[in-house]
Amino acid sequence: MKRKQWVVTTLAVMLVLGMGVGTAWSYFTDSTWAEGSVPISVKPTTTITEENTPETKTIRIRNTGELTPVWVRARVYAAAELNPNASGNSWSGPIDSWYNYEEVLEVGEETEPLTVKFELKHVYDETENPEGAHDGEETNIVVVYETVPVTFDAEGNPMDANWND
Amino acid sequence: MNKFLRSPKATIVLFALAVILIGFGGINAIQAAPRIESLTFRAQVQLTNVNVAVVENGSIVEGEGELLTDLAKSGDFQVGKTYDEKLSARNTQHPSSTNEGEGIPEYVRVSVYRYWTDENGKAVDLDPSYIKLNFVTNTGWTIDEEASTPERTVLYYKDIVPVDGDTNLFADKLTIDSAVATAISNGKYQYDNVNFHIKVTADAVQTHNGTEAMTSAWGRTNE
Repeated sequence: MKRKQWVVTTLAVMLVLGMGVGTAWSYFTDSTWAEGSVPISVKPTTTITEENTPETKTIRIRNTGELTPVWVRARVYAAAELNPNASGNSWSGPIDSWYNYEEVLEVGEETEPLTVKFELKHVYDETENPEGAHDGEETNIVVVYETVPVTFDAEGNPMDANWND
Repeated sequence: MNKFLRSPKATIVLFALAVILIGFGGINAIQAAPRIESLTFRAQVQLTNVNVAVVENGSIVEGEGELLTDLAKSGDFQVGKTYDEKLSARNTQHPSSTNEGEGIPEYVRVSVYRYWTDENGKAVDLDPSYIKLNFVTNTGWTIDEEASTPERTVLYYKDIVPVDGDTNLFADKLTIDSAVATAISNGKYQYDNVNFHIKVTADAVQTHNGTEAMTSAWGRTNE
């Protein structure tokens, strides 16, 4: 009988507590999503070809990348006695010893040829100047080039090259 | 009489009466069933619902790889150039609904995620702020600054969106900052051969008891 009273009392208390619980509501909701991506590549990839004659060295640079157009500039290293002088269509300079290609080099395109001409100003007698150029000697003419990715303004116009000099 | 009622005989008598009553009732019910058949009433109950979709440049998009498809296909995306990227949300009719105009007005919010990936997956070292999506906030959209991070921007739309109605644009232009072309670390271009991603999630709640609905679903309102 005592146990029965406990059961009834417990049920009554639970009923009273249950009546104090707030009402639960549910609401209509929905959710959706969409995602996408675009690849970019900024590292320039180029190759250089050169043709040599006894008096000239001609170079061309090709943009072999997949996405990135580039700005190009080149510089000639040679002995001072050779008086090197470079020129070519769409090439300008030298400015600070650099020859700048004035056109944006698009993917797959090649520059106009840059031809370096040199003429030996003076051939020294071996006793006259041991450090100077002597008849029969060979010398090197080196052309180096640099590229940077082309960046664009909001309208899609190419911005000037930033060589980080 | 009391003595009779307390005796086992009374129990047996009452039990017998109960059986008889149930039996008669069952017999009547069996006899009645073939004679009476009520009219058939058919009722169909369909709950209304809210539905929302992401809209890019006028078209609904949904799922992975469905955003930025035109830019990805062009193959000549240019760093620094500004492209049109018009994003909004639409209150759509449920796809399975057969009746026009079904649905209810709703409140909408969107969460926009911007991030980079490389060959190894998500590139957490790359700066999502270089993915410049221009958010339009003078057309009913408000940025929740507390919930927003450099990678995620949360916007709430103040106005009610009717069925088949569109919100105003919450974004309209996309640019990749030119700085990615000169970001070099340890002699390596940091943003070379990477993908930039944009993900938009749109959420909607009913307008009836809207404040309570938003608080329940989103933890806050659009105020």
